[in-house]
Amino acid sequence: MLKKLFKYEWKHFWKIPASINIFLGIITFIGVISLASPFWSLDLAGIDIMLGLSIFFYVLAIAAGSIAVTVCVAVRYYKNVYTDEGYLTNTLPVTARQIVISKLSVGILWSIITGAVVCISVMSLIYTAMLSYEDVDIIYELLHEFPEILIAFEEEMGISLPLFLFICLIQLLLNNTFSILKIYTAIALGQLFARHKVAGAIIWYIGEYVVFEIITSFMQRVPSMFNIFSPFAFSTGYYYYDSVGDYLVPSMLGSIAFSLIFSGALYFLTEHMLKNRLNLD
Amino acid sequence: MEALAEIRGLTKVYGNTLAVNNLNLVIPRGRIIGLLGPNGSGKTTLIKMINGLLTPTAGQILINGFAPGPETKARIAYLPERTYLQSGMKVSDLVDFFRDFYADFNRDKAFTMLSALNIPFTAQLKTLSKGTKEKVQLILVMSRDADLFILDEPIAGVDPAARDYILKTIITNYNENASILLSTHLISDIENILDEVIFIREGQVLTHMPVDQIREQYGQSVDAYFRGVFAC
Amino acid sequence: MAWNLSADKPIYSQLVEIIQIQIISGRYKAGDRLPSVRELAAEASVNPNTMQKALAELERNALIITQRTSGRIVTEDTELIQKTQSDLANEYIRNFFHTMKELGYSAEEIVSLVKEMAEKE
Repeated sequence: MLKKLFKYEWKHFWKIPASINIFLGIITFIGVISLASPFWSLDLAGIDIMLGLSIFFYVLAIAAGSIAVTVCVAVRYYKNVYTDEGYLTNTLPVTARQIVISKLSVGILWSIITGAVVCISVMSLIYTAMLSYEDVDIIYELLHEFPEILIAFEEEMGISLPLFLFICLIQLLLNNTFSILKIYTAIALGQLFARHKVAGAIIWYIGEYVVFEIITSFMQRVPSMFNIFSPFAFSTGYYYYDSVGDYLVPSMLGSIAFSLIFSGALYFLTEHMLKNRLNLD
Repeated sequence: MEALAEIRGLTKVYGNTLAVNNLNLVIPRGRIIGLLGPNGSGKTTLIKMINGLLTPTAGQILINGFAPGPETKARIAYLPERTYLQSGMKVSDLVDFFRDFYADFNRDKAFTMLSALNIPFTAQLKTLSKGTKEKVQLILVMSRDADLFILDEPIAGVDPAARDYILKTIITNYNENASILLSTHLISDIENILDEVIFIREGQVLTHMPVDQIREQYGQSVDAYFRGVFAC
Repeated sequence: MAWNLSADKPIYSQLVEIIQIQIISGRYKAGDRLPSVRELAAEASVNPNTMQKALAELERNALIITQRTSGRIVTEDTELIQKTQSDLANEYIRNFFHTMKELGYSAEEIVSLVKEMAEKE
């Protein structure tokens, strides 16, 4: 059943996020073409302003695109589970767990895809700009000095580049999962309001956001919890680290643990609300 | 054979309103049952609880011995009184969807009924008229071989000729292990196909009687009797 | 076409009468096989259990016989069919007299009115 739910969830959801990503792709393409051409070095009045504005709108588009995909995920979940469509979704011979997981996975997939598209977009623009205006081929330089980069990285960070990237990936995955689960839980809790359930969901979301921000900033002030190597941790407010990695890596691992624990909690809350506290209008 | 559904002490409170009040009901197998009552009597609330769409405040619902969950949902075919299908889907997509999730769904039967009512397979749901949408939803539900069919106003928005076809389908679908629960206001239209009726008032069962018994005892049709009981 | 059933009398007894008439009028002749319960119910637009009850009553009156392999058949007993016919006829006449008497006619007046009507036909 889970596979079927996933298949239909993908089938019914892919169009809008895909169009958003294609839109981002088109902007990137235009940007790359314009950067590759001598357009920006033309002696036109106000070309600098135009460049500034273009960059501004590009950043806006990227941000809007990412947010739009997240909003789509939220709207899809709400519509398909808690409105009229919920009369079908909640009478299918499936468990609440299968419903949440199928939708969560499609949501995570799309947020990863969008993230990747954004990354590629930014990197291709930077690469094209460097190539056109500084005559520097970043990729060529990177490939040629790759072994030195690896060594230098390991010295600075304390862990190898591949391992670091792996941790980054996990953190990215968990962050996306956590974001989406915050939305799902807010929607589920918003159902507790007799009327204005959407407004209720938004209030719960803001509440969650505030609570988790407080918890994160609290935890960031006590990195000594995660750093067992620093001998000066508790005595002063000034920490000695051998390398950047001594601070960064435990911090990342801590953040992963945090995301994991709270994602788990939010997931079980969402599932419980759907399974045992459903009151569909 | 045990009863198809047993409902004991079912209660549902909404804030200050008691929508269903300590309701007790046994639904036997092999019957076509009318669920009748004025608006706000708790019929829809009862139906939603049986389908697991509402959480009861108190009481117990057992269908084939199971509380509402995936096992009961696999054996119940529910037609709600609203458009609950995604409007972007095509009729043929919907048939595939139902076939994918419900083991008891009969694809050939669905296509036969769709053809009989002249519904184009490739049309998107949103392009169809309201009445046609209702027919599609009904056909999808009736193509299942469920133990319990719950039809909430199945013929209200449908033209008289299609109504006859639908009632005929209900009769010919009849099987002695399954039951149909029909909730409607159009009592005189369906009276003849019912075995028994349940009158609901203010969240409780007022009467649960065979149609012919009402006619013999009160010398009236169920429709006339209803009007008497629930006179405003 | 659904059978013509009145709303304030029990359905099953009306079904019994209608099938009796169908047998008497020759729609189902002696020895003919009847359609299945479901087919009859669909034709009449009534509940199959109610139709089943009606057929059970007709069986009790021996007008219909259930055979294990070939389903339900009309009795070959033509005398029984004729008796059913005359029983129904007498009942209609009794009702007719009752209604006419409510209009104020005496038994003799009723008979002469009927004779007049018959001569016109």
